[in-house]
Order: sequence, then C-alpha cells, then structure tokens
Amino acid sequence: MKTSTKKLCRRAMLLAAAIIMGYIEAALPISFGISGFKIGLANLVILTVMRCEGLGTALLINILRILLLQLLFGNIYALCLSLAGGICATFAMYVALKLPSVTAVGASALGGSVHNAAQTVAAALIMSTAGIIKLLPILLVLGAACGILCGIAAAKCTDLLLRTPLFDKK
Amino acid sequence: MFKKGDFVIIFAIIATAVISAFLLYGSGGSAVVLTLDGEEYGKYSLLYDRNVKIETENGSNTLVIKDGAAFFTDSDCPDKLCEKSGKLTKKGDAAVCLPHKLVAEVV
Repeated sequence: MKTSTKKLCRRAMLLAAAIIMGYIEAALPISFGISGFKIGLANLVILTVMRCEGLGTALLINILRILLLQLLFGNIYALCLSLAGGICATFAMYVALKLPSVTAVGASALGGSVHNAAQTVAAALIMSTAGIIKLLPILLVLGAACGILCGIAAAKCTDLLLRTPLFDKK
Repeated sequence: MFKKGDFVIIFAIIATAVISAFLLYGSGGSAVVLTLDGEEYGKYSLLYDRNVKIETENGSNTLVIKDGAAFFTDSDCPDKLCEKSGKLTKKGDAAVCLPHKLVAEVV
C-alpha cells in the first residue's frame, strides 16, 4: 500500500475531470434524436488516463466515475448500461492502442462504437426487447464519429499533460 | 495525427455498421399486415412473439408470430392453404386464406 502523493493527486484530478465531463455532457442538448445518446466527452478523459497511467488506472477511474455519476443523477438501469458500455470500451481502446500504427484517434473511434454496441445489447437484454437492436448501425457510426473528435482532443490533452511536472514519472 | 491503423479501424467500424444494417433491415421484413376483405385489419411487429386470433364472418384463423416469423394455425377453413404457406419472414412473403378473404403479408 504505497501510493505516492503525486500519483494520488494525478488520479484524484483525472477522476474529477471525468466526472465534470459527464456533468457537462448531461447538460449538452446533443442527442441526434436517440434518448440517452452522449457524445462521449468522459471517454476523452479515460483515453487520456489510459495513455498517461495505463489500463488499470483507466478502468478504476472509469468505474468510479460511472458509480459516482449514476449515484448522483442516475438510476439502476442507467448504471448497468453505463458499466457495460464503459468497461467494454475501456478494454477495446486498450487493445486498439496495442495494435501497430493506431493512434488515440483510431482507439477512440473504436471505443465509441464498442461503447454504443455494448449499451445497445445490454439494453436489449435488460428490457428483453429485440427492437432496440435496430438502432445498432446508426449508433456504431455515430459512436465512431464522436470518438474521432474526442480522440483528437484526447491526443492534445495527453501531449500537454505529459509536459506538466505532475505527470513527470520520476 | 491520423495513421494507417486509424483508417483501418474506422473503415472496419463503417463496414460493420453497413453489414449489420443489411442484416437488420435487408431481407427480413419488420412487420406483418393482415388484410380482411380488402381492408387493413391490423399490423404486427415480427420482433415480438404473439398470437393474433382473427374472427371473420366466415370462420376464424390464428396468426402466430414467433422468432421473427409469422404463420397461420387453427384455421377452420376446409383447404387450409394459408397454413400450408408456411413461415413468412421476408418482405413480400404472403399467406392467403381465400374462404375467409384474409391476407397476411410481410412489409
């Protein structure tokens, strides 16, 4: 149990950033006519965490973010859907970043699509209706499009953060 | 900022979306329309399993919707041609019960 103060600071700051992103997202009226659709700003933070800190911290911060946000603003269904999407997307982005010549942009596009696909399947299972699956093609494309934008932003964030003293790993 | 791998991933996602769109909207119909004596009797989604009992002045039929297919059972007509039409799944598939002036068509 030896967490350096610097590490603690980094994680606390990133978790706070992830929660704020979720809050901003909930306030943005962008939904493309699909209830509950989000542009994935929180994913921007998770991707940044993954590249600065690694898979473990990214998963930890994503799960904590979802638990805190859903406790504050959500309900049990939203919690299940968010967890399904968030965990699948985090692993998908981790795998994508391991592939040759894939940058944050490609990883984020895949993350967005996988997040939406996992949520759609989870929603279909929880509500036991197959009808919602019909949204899958449009959600895949929207997820990728939003993911590309967030990926570009995340790449910039990572470059800037890694230059600050707080993220200097010495 | 973009590298080759990014384009491969984005292309793969779009391909998946197009293929899933074809599978979801392509050959399989989404609903079955019942027409009784030339007038629309009802429209039922193929996504939800249910039994529809149709009473006509000439007799009764039951339309069963199960696992994305619709078919007639329990027709009290003499020839039972509508039951022999089998399972309706694709757009344009139809079963006709002439004695009852009843038509089921997938749209």
